[in-house]
Amino acid sequence: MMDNVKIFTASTIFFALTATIFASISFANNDGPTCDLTASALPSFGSLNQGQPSSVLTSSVNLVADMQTVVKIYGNDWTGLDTSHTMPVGQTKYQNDWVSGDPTNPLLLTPGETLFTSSVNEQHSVGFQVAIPDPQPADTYSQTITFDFTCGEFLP
Amino acid sequence: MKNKKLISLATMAIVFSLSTSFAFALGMTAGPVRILVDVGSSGSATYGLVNNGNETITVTLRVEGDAAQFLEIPTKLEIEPKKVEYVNVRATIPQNYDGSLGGNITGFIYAVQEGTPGQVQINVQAKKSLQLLIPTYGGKLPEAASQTQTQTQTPSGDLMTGFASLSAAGLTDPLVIAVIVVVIVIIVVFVLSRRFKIVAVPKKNKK
Repeated sequence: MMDNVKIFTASTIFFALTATIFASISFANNDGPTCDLTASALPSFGSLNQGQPSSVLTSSVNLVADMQTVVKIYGNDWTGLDTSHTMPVGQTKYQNDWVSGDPTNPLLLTPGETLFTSSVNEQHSVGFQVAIPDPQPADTYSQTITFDFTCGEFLP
Repeated sequence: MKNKKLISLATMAIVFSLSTSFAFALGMTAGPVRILVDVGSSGSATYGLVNNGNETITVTLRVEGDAAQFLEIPTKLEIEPKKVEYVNVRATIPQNYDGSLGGNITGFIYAVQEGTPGQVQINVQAKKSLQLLIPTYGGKLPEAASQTQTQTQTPSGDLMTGFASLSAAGLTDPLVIAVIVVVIVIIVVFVLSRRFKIVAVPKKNKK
């Protein structure tokens, strides 16, 4: 009976190790160094009054990188359904690795601001807050925010 | 026993919800694209765009900078889950190019995966630097970079192997695979225990 238990234990360990090694090898990337950026969707800020700041919403930004990656952020102006109604892009403020408080960096129209730089896998929580100017015409506004990244651009 | 089953089901649910929590993802191969091409001729290079997500994505491409007028790229690409799609960048320098932009003309290729339209739409954009190197006007490849994305590569297309077949079912998250592996091991243990008729027998005290 003890021999059977030993065989059984050894078999279990063998299968577990084999499966783990097989899974690791199977997920190896075979196309050279790559960088991969993932960003989660932002929920709606909801309905806001003039002069009222929104609550802070977060987007999870996940980087899987083999090479140095520079991640930048930019946006466009808020546009209403009536396209003559706009709000400057900077009404949205953002904060990398947001934990609490009001984000302080106004969003820009061009990707001039570096959000973070990394050569390894990282996850960041980026907080966003919008403040409605007063006065501002009532409308349904929308904005696009873009996470821009380069990958290993500094090769000789 | 019932509680254990409930805990297992809850764990599986959390694992699956974690694996689908990200919405917009785009990857690319590293390094700048350099094309060595002389006046009156054409050259090409490729770089890879990667979809590590679980759904097919559509990426729109555009070129900006001085190099744009000499380039041809696809404007749209569909990338299947866990695949690399290679962007073919073709450059043509006309015979009448007068060297006004020099022998090293730069530009950028932007690949954008657009998020779901809504109050705030989140896009992910991969920006690739590009150099057109024209020998007649002094353009040449850096020595160390002569093999870096300057020639047309032979794309393998597949990013993953082995468990890639699971991608069709959306089961590609390593965590999910780890759970599947554990389940397989448990089944193997169960089958072996039945085969060898292993039962827990309390030790008898020898007196």
